[in-house]
Amino acid sequence: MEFKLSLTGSFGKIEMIGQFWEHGDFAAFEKAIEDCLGQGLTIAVVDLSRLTFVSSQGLGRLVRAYSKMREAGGELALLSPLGSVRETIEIAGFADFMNIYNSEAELAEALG
Amino acid sequence: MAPKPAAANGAFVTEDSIDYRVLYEEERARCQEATRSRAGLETANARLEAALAASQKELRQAQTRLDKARAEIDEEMEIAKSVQAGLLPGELPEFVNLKTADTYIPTGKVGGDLYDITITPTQKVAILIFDVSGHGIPAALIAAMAKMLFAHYIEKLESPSVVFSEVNKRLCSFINTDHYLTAFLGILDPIRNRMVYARAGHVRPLVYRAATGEVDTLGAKGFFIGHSALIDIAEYTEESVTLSPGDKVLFYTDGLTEGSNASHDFYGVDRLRGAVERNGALEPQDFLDAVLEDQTKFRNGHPLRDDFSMLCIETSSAEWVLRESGFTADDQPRMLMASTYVDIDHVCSVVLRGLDDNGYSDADIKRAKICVFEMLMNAIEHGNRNDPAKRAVVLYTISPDELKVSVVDEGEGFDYEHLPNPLAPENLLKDHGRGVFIIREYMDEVQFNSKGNRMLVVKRHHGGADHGI
Repeated sequence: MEFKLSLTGSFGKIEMIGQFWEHGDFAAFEKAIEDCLGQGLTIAVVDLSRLTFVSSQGLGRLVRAYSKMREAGGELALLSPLGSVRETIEIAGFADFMNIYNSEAELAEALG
Repeated sequence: MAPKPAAANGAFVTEDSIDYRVLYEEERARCQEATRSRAGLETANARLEAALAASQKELRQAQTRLDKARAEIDEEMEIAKSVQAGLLPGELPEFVNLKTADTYIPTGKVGGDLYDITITPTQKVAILIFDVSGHGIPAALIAAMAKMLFAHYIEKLESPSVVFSEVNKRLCSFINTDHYLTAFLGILDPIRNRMVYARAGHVRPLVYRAATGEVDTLGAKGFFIGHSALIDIAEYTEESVTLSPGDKVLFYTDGLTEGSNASHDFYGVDRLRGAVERNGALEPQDFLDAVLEDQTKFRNGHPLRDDFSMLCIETSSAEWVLRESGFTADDQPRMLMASTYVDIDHVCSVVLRGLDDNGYSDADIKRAKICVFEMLMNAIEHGNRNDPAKRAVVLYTISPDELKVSVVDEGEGFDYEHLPNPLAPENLLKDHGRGVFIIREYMDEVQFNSKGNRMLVVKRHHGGADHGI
């Protein structure tokens, strides 16, 4: 899969493109979270609009990243999960503890 | 004494008198003639030498051209041999209850032997062996063409006799020479160990029966393939054989039995049968090595006239696979295997293609993908502990009404009855423990065997619109 990391503005945005299940991708995602924190950005937004598949382990890595950001006094939010990815995230109960934004506009409004 | 005419000048001399003038003229004429002749000879010689030199030059040029052409032919033959070698399977696929081995013995010439073992779209095992008549580049070209045609039709059709008919029609339209090929094609159901087969003038494979040590032959009627003179009369019958655990089938080409000794006696089918009887209990590769050794010993150094191939399969019981899987033989499940992450991708794509073919919606296919993926991931990571030598056996059936998938791993099993609920507050932030939960959410039925190393899921399909995604 492909990651696109942009660290501009008040938050770091990590775009996931493709399928999120391989161990190599988990490491790349963790590195992106580290980079956000390293830049002093306490909010990480994971853009899932172009993610087509996520495994249960991939969900686990999102939760782990969420905990890491929280421990650093920050936040991790999800942006625009679609289709089966959205359904899986909902089944896993992420909406109970994680902010999930349906669009860039919704995100911008929430983050001010 | 009467005078008699003398030489050309008409002077008359007596026998006692000599006309020196005449003699001189005669001598001079001879000298002139000789001089002319010598000059002519020298000219002729010069011409001959020039012609010889020209011929020698031409010969040298022709030799150079010939050497170049021969080098090009040699190079092309090497390429042809390499192409032919590339058409032989590098590594035979691995099966749950089927052992395989192969041997190809070249003679240095480009031959027309080819064989292959492939998995059909319905997860049966296709075993093909064929032999193109003659040698050299034409045989290799026809072999390559035939291999492509066989691969195409085996993928589309699962009846060996129909495959032969189609390949015959196509090849007859391509081959305008006297070349033809003999072939044997078996399609083995690995669950039932039943092989349906057809034979196109090929030597009859031998079956070693493990229980009795007896050797049977597999025969079915059928003409050669690809000979245009036979296109209208070419018919292929189809027969079947049921194999028991430990049985071996030896497929080969006639170069094996036509290997001869210094007395020009063929090794022959009877000697081959004897070697199969004596060595049938060996492991497949050892078995082929033993047969080869027997033939080599018989030839006693006499060179081979023809290359040959041997292919062996040995079946074992699929009973344990079925017993653990939750399927019965009557369900006629298809079987796949996974040992690594790469295999997961393949299994998912095969199952999902089956769903698509049966009219499942895009949303249902995506849901099924998550489930099959999670089942395999559990089996490989948690069951087999990422040991690539261990296998996760996937059995599945797909109908327009139902998807049923079973994954059995070689692990110790896990306690499926006490899986924590990932939605419980204390588990929400854990980074594991969601796989089976997601499967249960998506599937209509989820069952485990008592050991806990098999998961069986069922998804009933109601057709209609996508539900939500």
